Amino acid sequence: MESREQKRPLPGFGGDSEEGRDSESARVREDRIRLLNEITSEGLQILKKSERHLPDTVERLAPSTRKQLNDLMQRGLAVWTKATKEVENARES
Amino acid sequence: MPENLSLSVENISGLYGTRRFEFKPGLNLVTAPNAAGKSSLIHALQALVLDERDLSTRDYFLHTFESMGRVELSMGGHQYVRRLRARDGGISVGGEALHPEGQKVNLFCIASEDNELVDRVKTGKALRSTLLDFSDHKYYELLGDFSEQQRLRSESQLKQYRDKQAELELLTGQLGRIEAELEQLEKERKTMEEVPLEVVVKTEEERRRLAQAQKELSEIIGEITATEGDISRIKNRLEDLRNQELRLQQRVGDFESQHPDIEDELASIDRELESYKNQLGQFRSEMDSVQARLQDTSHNWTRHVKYGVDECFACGKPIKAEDLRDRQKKLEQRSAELGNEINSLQWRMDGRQKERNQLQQEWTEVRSQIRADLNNVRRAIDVQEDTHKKLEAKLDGLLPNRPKLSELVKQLEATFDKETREKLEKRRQLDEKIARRDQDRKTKIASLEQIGDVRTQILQFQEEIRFYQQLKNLASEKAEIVRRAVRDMFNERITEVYRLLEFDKDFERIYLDDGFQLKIIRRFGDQRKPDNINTLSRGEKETVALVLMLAGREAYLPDFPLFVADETTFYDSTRFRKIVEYVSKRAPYTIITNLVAKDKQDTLTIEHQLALA
Repeated sequence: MESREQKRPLPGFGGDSEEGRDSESARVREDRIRLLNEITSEGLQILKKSERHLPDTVERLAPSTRKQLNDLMQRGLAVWTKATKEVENARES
Repeated sequence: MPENLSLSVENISGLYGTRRFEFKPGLNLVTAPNAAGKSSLIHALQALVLDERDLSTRDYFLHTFESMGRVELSMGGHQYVRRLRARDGGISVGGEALHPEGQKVNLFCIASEDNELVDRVKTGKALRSTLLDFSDHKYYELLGDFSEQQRLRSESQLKQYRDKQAELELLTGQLGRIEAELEQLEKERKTMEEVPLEVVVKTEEERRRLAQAQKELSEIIGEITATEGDISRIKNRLEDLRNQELRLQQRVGDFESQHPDIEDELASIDRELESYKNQLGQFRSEMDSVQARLQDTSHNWTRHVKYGVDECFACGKPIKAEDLRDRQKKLEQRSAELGNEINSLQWRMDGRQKERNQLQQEWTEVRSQIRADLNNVRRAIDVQEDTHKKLEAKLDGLLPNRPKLSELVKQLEATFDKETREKLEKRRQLDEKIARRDQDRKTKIASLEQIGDVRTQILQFQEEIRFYQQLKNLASEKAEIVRRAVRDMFNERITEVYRLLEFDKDFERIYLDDGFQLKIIRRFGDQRKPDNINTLSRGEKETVALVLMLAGREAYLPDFPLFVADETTFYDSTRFRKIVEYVSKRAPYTIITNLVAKDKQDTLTIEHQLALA
């Protein structure tokens, strides 16, 4: 059963009021919410495809599943960090 | 138009031999009296879906008197065949399963007596894992946990970099203080009075000469002290050796004064011993003669006493008995005297011989061992005396240098320009301090460079932590949404059915709470009261279980065509009709078994329409 996509800001995210007023940051924030949703959906698919019997704990995931999840999160993190740098560069300039 | 399903069953549970069944789309109501094969039919369908692990322990799926069974279902132009074989108290399985997730199918599509969901509802246990684990909830939770693990790893790395940052701040503070001190020292150095170069050179030369003279004096004093120490040790050693020599000489002298002519002394003892030996021979010879004569006398005495013969048995001369007794007494007396003499002489001889041996041994010792020791000691004395002489000579050579050097040092100190020296010394000390501080500064800078710029890494890890935190929050939120959606969906279905079956007259609500525990609120007139789930009747519990299964089937197995319910006789006819209609609308092929009295029907039949009540 799929969950509904979240469009509202995530809890604890976008609390920076200066950032909130900045239209450029608002766009980044939306991109990030989309990114997190994509990672979550892709992670879900990885788990569904890789684990025939879903274990109770992360430690019991197959090494290949862990690697796939890790790669996915590293990719997401790279996008996330790039966006942060872009915002910082824009502020500095 | 959906096709009919064809099921062939061979030796499964109570169904012996090969039996064929045909199921039409919609309702298939299997009616039969007891032991006619209704539950066996359910077992056959379970054998088609369960995986090998679940089937391996269900040996009751095989007919009691057969070791092999077979189930075949024709559906969608495909034949699904399952072969069961008895093996070591269990069952081995062959063939293709009807669905890859047999456990899920068994849980949500086959309402039999060994269904875990039905059992948990009946016993009032929580249904969280039974209903929720098949949803995406668990996937999202695991994803959230994975993100959390990553976040903790980043936290740990961030902590390391923060520690480095603290170290960096500490080093920066220390460097600041060192640089401030250096600045102060250099300022002080600049304000110092300058000394002309020629004075510096001259003073340096004087200082060097004085230092050299002091060093040489110190070395000479050290050497003299060491030599004096060596001489003292040699003297002690010589004294010891001489004492040893005296003791050995004393011992030789004592022996020689006690035994001035040892050779004669020994020869005299030897002669004395020879004399004793001769005397002893004479005594022994006489003793032999006395013993022989005593024996003859004793023999003649026996002849006289026993036979009255008074003549000598050897010479034949007559002998008087009185003479014979007298002679015997004299001979016995002489024999005793000779025995005493021999013993006494022998004792004296032994004593003298012992004295001789002792003397001989002592003489040998004095002559060889003591003299050898004495020679060794004397040689050692010679060596030590020689060393002593050499050391004395060395000391004689060294001693005159001391006053000379002392005088030189005094002269140099007298001519030394102390004021200039102090100025230069102060300047030198300041230079050294500046050099040390400069070295400290370089070390701190090197340490700072080694740690490098941690700010970038700290920002990077802070970003990572933020990212993983957001991801975890999102996954947890989705898990929670799924959990609520699953619970709400099941609750909606329960409400729908209890209204359909008119259970709502007695119940305000039957529902799953947040922990997926079934709860009830009873209704009595206008009153509402929560009650224990175990107070539900069997029919009510079975209905709730059936509804949960149907909802689960729709949610988790929407494409699976079969729904099977075993034994539904606990419903009254109106409710039975309602529930059967409700169920058969929700699955393409619904198979429901029902018990009938044997006097009405004695075989198993399949109906496709509900008989009118």
